[in-house]
Amino acid sequence: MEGWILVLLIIVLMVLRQPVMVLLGCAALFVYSAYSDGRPEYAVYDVWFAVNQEVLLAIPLFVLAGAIMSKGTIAERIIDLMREITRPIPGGLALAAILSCAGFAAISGSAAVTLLAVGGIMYKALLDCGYSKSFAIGSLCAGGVLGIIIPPSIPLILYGYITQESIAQLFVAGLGPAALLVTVFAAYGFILNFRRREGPWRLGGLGRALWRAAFALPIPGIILGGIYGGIFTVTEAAAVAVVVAVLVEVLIHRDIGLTELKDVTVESGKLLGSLYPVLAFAFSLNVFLTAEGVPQALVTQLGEVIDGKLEFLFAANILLLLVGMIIDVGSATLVLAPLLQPLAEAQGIDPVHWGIVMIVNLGIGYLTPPLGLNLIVAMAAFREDFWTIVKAVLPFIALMLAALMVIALVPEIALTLVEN
Amino acid sequence: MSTFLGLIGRFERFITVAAFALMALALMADVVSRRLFQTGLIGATEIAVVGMIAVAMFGIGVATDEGAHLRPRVFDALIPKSISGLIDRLASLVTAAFFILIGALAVWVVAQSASLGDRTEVMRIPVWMLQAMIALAFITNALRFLIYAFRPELRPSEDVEESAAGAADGEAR
Repeated sequence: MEGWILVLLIIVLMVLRQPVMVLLGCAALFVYSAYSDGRPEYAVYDVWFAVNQEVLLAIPLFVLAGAIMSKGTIAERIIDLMREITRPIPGGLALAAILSCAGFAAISGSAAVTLLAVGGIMYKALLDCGYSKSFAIGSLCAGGVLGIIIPPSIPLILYGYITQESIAQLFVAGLGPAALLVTVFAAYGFILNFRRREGPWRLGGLGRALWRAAFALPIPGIILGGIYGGIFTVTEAAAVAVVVAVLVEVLIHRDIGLTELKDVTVESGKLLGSLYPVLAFAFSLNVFLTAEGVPQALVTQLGEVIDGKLEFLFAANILLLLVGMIIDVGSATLVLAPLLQPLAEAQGIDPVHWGIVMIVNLGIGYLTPPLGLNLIVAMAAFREDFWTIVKAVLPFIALMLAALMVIALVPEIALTLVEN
Repeated sequence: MSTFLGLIGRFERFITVAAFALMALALMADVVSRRLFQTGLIGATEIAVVGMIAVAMFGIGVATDEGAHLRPRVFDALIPKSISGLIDRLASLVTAAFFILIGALAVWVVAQSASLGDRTEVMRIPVWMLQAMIALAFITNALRFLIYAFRPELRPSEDVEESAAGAADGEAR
């Protein structure tokens, strides 16, 4: 009975235009009042425990680092270099777009920021060079999704946090699937734009681009090399990323002044202010569900229905694709990961591998109507109508689905580097 | 009313920027100290966590000021345009009620921690001081939404685009 009241309450709150934070907060207050001896204050204790966690320090700092770098000219410099490198290759500019997204993803951790930072420059360049509007939009929207798969990735940090898996291992596991997606996107661009090439390499241009990107290129190496070289933890890497971003953009490139730095910081605070309450109340619900043994009960019940790994992968991926169409990656990860991860483990799926499958799957949600985030961002960034963008991303959704299937069925793509 | 909203907004933005700086500098100093002197800075991580709590909690107000909270929009089409304004007021009132309730519970939790004398592990900071940020953030947001309910013209429009660029990869739906 209480369960139905909760569902009704959530629906009423959604009709009343309440934010996700209020939906989850009310759900947490309700379950603690109805099931835990009427102790709604437990929800506040959970909020306190959720935000008072060292492991979460990486999120605001990676967010800030990404925001500083997208405000400055790091993205532009990476793009210039990629354009010069790919000049003689058929469909080179398409490849440059994908590689620029991958390069910027390695420092931003966000899909929408990657799309905005690279798309803002590359969209016009692709059109000017005769690439179809449809391909330009599709490749940049899909390339943006690499932002949450290539480390550092905020959704992977959230998955690691909520399931207690190693974030460093999740980051390494993201590299193989990201390489697969880059290859698939690049191959599609190559086949579709085989006749387009910008010309032979220009030594002067290449040298100039290399020089301009001299301080931008080492940043991913510093972040990831520092983590895996044992120099600093993931959290400290995020702080290093902020300091490097400030040094490069404010002191070396001098593209950002102190006032803009303050604005970017406030902007990051705004984004975190919308994420953290969601995270905290999702954590609270998770604590309640775990204390009540819900994930374990679910594993037992579904274990009787689902017979084998393949069946689980199929059913869970369909569920995630549907959820990804209507819920954002962060909220979906925080709510579903604690429920699906024990199920995956019960089927013999490595939890790190499952985390990657989940994030790649939910990443497709960035491209799926009606509420794909990258579709909405692209509408604003490229000044195109919604359906033009939806049609443009359809081939890339198909490519991502194919890649997801391979990533789900071949765990070695994600786990080889982790095991080594 | 708008002056009051502006004041609390400025206060929260200031705290957010300062907290970010505190976080980054504390952790960076810890890394540098460990590399140079083979020993980390005692309490650096704890200070960074304090910064994060401030960003997380005061950031709620910054996000409210710019209409950046993530919201599911699947039922929006069900509401006739003629009563949309009324629903907006009601929405503000419901959100305010939520913040009042959770804020009151947060005040109770702060009082409990103060009476128990809990302190953080390393820096021995009284826990109630840190938890007070949670209570304060909820209360300032309750006030904001109460004001929006009675003066809807002061409520910021929902910023889909900006939220979309959310590095946390959430979105305003």
